[in-house]
Amino acid sequence: MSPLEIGIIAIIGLLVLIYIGMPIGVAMLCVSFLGVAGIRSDTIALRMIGQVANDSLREYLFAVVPLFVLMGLLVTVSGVGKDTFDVFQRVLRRLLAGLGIATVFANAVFASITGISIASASVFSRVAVPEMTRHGYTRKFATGVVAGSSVLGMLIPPSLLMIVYAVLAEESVGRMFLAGVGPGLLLALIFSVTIYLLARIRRDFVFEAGDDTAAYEDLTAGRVVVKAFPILCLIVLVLGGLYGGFLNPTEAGAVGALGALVIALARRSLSGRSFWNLLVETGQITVSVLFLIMAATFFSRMLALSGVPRELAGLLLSGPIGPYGFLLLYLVLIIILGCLIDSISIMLILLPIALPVATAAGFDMIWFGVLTVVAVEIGLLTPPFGLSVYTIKSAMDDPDITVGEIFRGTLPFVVATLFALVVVAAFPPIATWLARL
Amino acid sequence: MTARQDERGAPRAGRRAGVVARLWARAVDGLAALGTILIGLLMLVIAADVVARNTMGASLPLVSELGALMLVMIVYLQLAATVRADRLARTEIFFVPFCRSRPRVGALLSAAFDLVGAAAVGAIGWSTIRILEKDYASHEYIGVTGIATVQTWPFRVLILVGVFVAAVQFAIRVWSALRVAAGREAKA
Repeated sequence: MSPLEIGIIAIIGLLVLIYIGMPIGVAMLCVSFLGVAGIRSDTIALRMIGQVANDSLREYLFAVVPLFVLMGLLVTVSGVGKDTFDVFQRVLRRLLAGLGIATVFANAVFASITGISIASASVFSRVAVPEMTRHGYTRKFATGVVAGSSVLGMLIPPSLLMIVYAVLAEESVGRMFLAGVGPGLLLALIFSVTIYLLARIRRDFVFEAGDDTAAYEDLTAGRVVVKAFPILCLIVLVLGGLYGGFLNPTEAGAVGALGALVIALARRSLSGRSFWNLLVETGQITVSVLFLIMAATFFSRMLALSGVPRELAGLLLSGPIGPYGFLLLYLVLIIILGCLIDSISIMLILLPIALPVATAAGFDMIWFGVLTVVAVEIGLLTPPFGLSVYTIKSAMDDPDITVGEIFRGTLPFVVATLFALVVVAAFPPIATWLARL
Repeated sequence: MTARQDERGAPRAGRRAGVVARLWARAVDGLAALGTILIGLLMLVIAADVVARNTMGASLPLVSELGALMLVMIVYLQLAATVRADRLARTEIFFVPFCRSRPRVGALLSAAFDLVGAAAVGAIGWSTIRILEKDYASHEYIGVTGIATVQTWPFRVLILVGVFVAAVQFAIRVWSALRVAAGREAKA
């Protein structure tokens, strides 16, 4: 068999193994080992697997993963999310569907201190959904807003997905973070307009029958400041440090985690026991992410040996499909896979194949990365395996609300995110302008 | 919370096996705890480096290289616990319904997955031995000579231990899945 054939068989084999439920990292290690053994020899395959396992993770940059995860988990328990929501609720309550829009912006701000969508989804389903239902919003809409705006968590820096992309594409993490800002704000804006239009045109989707008579908790200006203060501190610490040039991404993660720890301790929302549990949870997320990155490194080396990406680039780019046909195909494939696999796994499976093609097509790799992340995030919202939706369902702990109901509520936001994807695809500067400044 | 599901994976034949299983669970927990402590340590070391650089104008020695090595250790020290808790990412679209409708065949499939896992992680361990020997023989170190250096082989030993424990943990899962497949033990 030629290396090319071996490479193609390995990709198909990988997809089959992943489909039948083999752990994705294990499946990647397995097909890559067999692939290298077939192309070269089993001695070389053995040597390569050891080398990859020992050295591919030995990067200072990767320390950013546990640190930002820890920071996300710490702000989740510390109640900072509720305060953010309270502040926006106070500011926006006179607006039509103001609570929905407040949820979007609270998420956008919360996103700038956490790097994982799941953290946002679990916080705001406990904070924003009860408040919205109390004020006469439908549960379908309330949960839909929370699921939709949790996507912002991965676009607005810091973001775990941006880090993973930067690592695989060998782009700078700082630039990828900056590239997420424009599209993140755009998406927040599109979501707000969507909510406003829904409240105008499809009133029954947003509100239950009857008027909103529930009282708002009145916050004095002083209380608003007190509530906003810790979040602002964290944002200044992390983003300010990052873009002021005081901190590299890894250090921003460490300082942010420490800051979140201080806030959690100051509010007495953390016991020794629960801190240990958070560290354990951080460890398990870190292991599953980095084990995948390690396996994906091996997979992409095997693919490079087989020559599949080169051939694929030639085939796709010179044929009738062309660069933009490839881009369309790629984004559609991500969204389809998003119905089945979690976001990081999708990126680690597809990027080793797609990155060389995208480079050959002459795409701006930062722009390509932002499109990838947005498309991957759509998968978090689509049935049957939209992860954000299931997180909300389990965080709510309310047997009355069905997963199907949440998916229906999320639908307008899936459409809105698709729209944002098209806009960013059509106007690359939204993503690249800040990053290339 | 998920880290405590170990008893399911332990064979329950006889008291001695019970003791061995308990000791094994302790060992896996111990390694994972070490990895967990390292995460906290990593945060403190890097934050200390930031403070040192911005107040005294000089970075602490070794931080970036040590941070990188610590990260590799965090991953491999906790790998066994992650395997035991079944937290490695996988798709559930086929596997979960299949196991529900045909539990014994499902267990067989699960045993096959874990066997591949054991082989893959075992292969990593096997070739890490060679890397360890090389590091030890050539006194491989990190840092700058004359300021601060640390030999890398003790880290490699810990990585190796973590990898082998993870391989054995995969093998234990194979064994208990096979028992389910053989119908000796009801699926927990």
